[in-house]
Amino acid sequence: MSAYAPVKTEFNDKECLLAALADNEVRSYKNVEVHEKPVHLIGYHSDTRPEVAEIIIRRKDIGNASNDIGFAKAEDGTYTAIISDYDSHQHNGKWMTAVKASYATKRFEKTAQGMGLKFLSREKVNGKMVTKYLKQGA
Amino acid sequence: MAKIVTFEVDLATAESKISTNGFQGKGCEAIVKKVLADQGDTTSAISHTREYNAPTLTSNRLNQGK
Repeated sequence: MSAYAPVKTEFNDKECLLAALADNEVRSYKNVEVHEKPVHLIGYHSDTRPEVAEIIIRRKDIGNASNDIGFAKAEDGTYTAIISDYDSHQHNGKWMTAVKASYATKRFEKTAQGMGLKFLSREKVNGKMVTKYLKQGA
Repeated sequence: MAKIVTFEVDLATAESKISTNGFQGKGCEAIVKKVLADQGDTTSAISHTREYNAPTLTSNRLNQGK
């Protein structure tokens, strides 16, 4: 059995987190379960694990020998990633950084929309995702 | 007068910054404040995630001239 380890993140927007999981530069997951209340993760042997989460990437979508990956909402509103030791080899810092980069873009996009900024363009330049907005009347 | 607000994210580090018409932090203080406010805790929004030693998703203070 591969042990789970919690990793605290600063993600606090469910919508943006889901969007980042579905669209990032390393490994994307579009088929992600979202629950109002936390449910148990399932391990490699189809065993119910004690760890629970509101956002779950099921192991069938990760790999044959994988365990579920979860994101559990903490009291402060942030999500804690719950990743097994086995799956942490592919879902490592590089993956989390890619999710974080995508999350940042989605989060800013949401903020920009709320502030009335008009989307102009998005392109990858020298390893950076660059998004431009038009700010009227500034 | 219209301005171009640019949001950049480094895909290797997730470090991000905001600039207006090519000048970092100039004329976009309100946007930066809004982004930080949306994070909830401003302090944590500019800190680093220990486990991955990677910058967070908001502009860093150096870029804002704070």
